[in-house]
Amino acid sequence: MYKMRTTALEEKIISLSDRIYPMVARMLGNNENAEDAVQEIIMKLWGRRKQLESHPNLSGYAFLTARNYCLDLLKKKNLEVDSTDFPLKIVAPEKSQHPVEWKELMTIVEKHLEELPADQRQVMVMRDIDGFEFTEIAKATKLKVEHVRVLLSRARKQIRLKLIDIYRYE
Amino acid sequence: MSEKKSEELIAKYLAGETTLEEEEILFSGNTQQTEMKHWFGYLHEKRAKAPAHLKDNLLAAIEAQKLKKLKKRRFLVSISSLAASIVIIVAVSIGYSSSQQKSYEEKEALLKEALSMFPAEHEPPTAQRILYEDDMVIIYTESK
Repeated sequence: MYKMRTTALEEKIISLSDRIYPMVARMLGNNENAEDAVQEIIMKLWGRRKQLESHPNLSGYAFLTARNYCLDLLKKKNLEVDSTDFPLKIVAPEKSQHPVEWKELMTIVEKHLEELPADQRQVMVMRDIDGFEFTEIAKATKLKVEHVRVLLSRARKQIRLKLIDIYRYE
Repeated sequence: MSEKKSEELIAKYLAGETTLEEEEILFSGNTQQTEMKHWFGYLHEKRAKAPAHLKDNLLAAIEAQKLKKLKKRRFLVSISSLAASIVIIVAVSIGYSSSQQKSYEEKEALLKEALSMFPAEHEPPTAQRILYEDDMVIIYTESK
């Protein structure tokens, strides 16, 4: 047996799995196995590694590929796709939180997220849940980085005010 | 993290100026601000983490793909070298037989050409009678 060598590019492609996983998990929710999907997406990228060698924005390209893959998968399964392309699907609570409390929190937070203006919500989901860099959000939304920061700041302050209202008596 | 540091970080967060690493600290940490504690708790649960074994699986999948390609290439190389040797053998044997055929034709042509140079010699002399013959001379009589 012999061990294969992986190139720096291959290492980079593999490490992208950490970056795209949150988004894939969010988009597919409970409907699909996020792990399998991420593996498919990474293998797709690996198959195109020759073209990607000199790509100026590899992570941006990876996000786009991942997003399209998830949308295709959801369409194929005839699942509801949110008009904003950023559906907030339910994820199972971890053991750290009480299921009832978690469900209540989920309901409250998601109601307020839905009430945000679409551009603010999109930026907030990409940043706070998907963990994108500002430059990546700017590329994906075709906005300037400063504008993304402004939208995000507004959304965060808005959510905070709503939550202060709710938890005032705790 | 001290409460003062935490408050500073939250202010930075609200202004949209925290880095992803700082946000990670906020989401997994604790704060006195009830509403932010809930919000960060929500985000901490929601921001799904890739399972630790995912990268190992990917590495294994990539190696399997490479091995498959390698085997395919080896197969193609052996098939094409086999094909190449067959082509060479066929080409050589055709070339050999055609060169032989040609040389027969050439020989025939040469022979005909040579014969055409001596038309008279072809007529056998009439009624020769050899009187003496050795290595040097032939003495004969001829009657016309």
